[in-house]
Amino acid sequence: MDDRYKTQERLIEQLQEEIEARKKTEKELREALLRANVVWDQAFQFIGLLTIDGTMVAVNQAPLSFSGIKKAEVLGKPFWEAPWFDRSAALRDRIRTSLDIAVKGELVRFEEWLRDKRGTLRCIDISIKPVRDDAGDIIFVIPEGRDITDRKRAAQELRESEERLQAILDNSPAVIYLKDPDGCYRLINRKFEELFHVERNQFLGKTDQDIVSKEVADKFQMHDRAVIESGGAIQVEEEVTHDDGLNSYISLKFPLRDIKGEIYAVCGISSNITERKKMENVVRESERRVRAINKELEAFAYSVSHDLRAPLRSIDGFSQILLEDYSDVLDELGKSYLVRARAGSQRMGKLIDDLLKLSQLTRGEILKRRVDLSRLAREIAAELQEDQPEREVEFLIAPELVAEGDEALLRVLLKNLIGNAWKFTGRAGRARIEFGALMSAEGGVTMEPDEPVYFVCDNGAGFDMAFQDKLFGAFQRLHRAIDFPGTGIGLATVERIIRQHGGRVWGKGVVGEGATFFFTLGP
Amino acid sequence: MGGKLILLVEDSPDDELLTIRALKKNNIANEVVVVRDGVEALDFLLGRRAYADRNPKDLPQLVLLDLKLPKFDGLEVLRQVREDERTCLLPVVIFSSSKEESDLVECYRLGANSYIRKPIDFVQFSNAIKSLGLYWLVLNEAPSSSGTP
Repeated sequence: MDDRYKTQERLIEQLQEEIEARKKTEKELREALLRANVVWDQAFQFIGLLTIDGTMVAVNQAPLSFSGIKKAEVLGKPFWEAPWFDRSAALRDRIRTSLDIAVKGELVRFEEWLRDKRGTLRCIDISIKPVRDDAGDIIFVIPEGRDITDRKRAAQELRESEERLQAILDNSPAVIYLKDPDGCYRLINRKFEELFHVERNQFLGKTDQDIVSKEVADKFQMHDRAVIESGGAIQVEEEVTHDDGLNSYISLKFPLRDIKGEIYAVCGISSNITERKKMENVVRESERRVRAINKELEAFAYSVSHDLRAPLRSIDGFSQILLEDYSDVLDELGKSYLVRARAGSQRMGKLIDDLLKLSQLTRGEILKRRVDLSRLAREIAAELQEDQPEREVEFLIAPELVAEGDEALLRVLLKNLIGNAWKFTGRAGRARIEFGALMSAEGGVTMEPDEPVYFVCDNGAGFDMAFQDKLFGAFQRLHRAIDFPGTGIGLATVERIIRQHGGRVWGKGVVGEGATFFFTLGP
Repeated sequence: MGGKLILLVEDSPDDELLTIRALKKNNIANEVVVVRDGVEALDFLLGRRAYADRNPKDLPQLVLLDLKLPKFDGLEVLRQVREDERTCLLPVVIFSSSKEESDLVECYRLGANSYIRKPIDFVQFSNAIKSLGLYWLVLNEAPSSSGTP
């Protein structure tokens, strides 16, 4: 009895132990399964399990959440008929064909655009992979998917941005390039390709030695090294020979740094300044020439004022002494010759003085201010009248003609023009001199609109229009000295003053009827 | 008139002759000493070299100074005359062909007493000499000594 009872008790104990053990195993299994499920369902990746005929037997949460569909809609059904692929028949076909390949033992991988639950197309990297048992037979197929839209978009944006930059670089008139610290080209623009006759894809990776002489390449590299060593931008002039000869560039070179702050490239932007330099040289050269000429002129003017006058003084002085001391041995004709000699030397003295005045006009800077031309004209008219009170001349001076200019020069200008009118009306019956202004077109020459054209008009001797191109030349005279005396400097002076003001002057005349001189004073 | 002398610094014999004639015609009877370059002018005034036996205190009443001269030009003569305390107050009239503004400015800056441009017309030339003589030799009161006392 006792033994049997004991045996029973042992059995029960064993049974209980076994039950405990099983319970433990079961618990462990449950926990393992739970863990697996958590991993399965929390995975970012889309994962499914298909039988070899393509029926879906399992799927994790990710693809369901992606499309907003329920497990029941896909489980037990052919994979290609799942709502993920209802975008097109072609898509379903592709899935089905891929499955056919996978069940034959091959991994298939491709990208497809699938709709998410909001209807937005997302790019999915899909793979379909066969699974074999220990015997090597294919028993399942595992489809997987991963949303790579963001990566894809970033890549596309990067490409677009690069294309955009390249387009900007390619359309720049400057030569633009990027070299790594070893001097190998990493980027060049179209201008670079054109100038050095290279093609981007073949050229990248090459160095300066491949396109220019060693001497020039050394210089380029010296500048690049200076950028790397200083770590900052530099601006240098570089010279290089192209098909059309030696060209000058102003190159801005600066370092490009990676995320760690290390220089990985030197970028250069080189602008062609050959033309500019040529122009600068031309300007410098002509400035130098003008300075030299001015200096020469000054020396000439000085020598004229000083040396040419001395002999004239002798001629005049000794003629006068002859007249004074030897009048008893000279007859009237002899004396008249001496008088002529004196008049000649004095006229030449006047010419020299006028010429000097003319040359001095161009030397000084002009000082522009508001000038009341009407007042100047009235003052000049009064002076002329005072000098020859016996003459009766009618002056018509328009009021309030105000212009921008150098007052001293404008006075000389008006004095010459009005003085000429005064002189050439000397023989007119009823002399009339007018000073006024009109608007451009009336002057007969098209000028800037609204630019006033001033004029001095007289009814004097006039001139033949055939000689109008000679009006403004120094020493050019259209009248005989016996009729109207003068040195022929007046209008040359006028022309020079007008030119200094940036204006124009021209004349119209009819012999015996009068002359009109028009002028503008520039902007 | 008469008495004190006029120093004429002039390298052109023609101008020398014309000047002296004009002085005479205008009854300016002062003795005229002519020197023909800048160095000679300074030698005379300061009693040096050829003029070593001259008493430098015996200064002319007026110096007529041309600008364009051999060796030292008129500007240099003027500068040295004004720098030397024996001659710094000496009346110096520039008598030149030049009407260049720069010459005028420089002469007055260096202390010229007057600047007269030689006219070409001999009648005017003679009148200029006459006025000049009247002013500097008759009207003008110079300090008793032309240098510092």
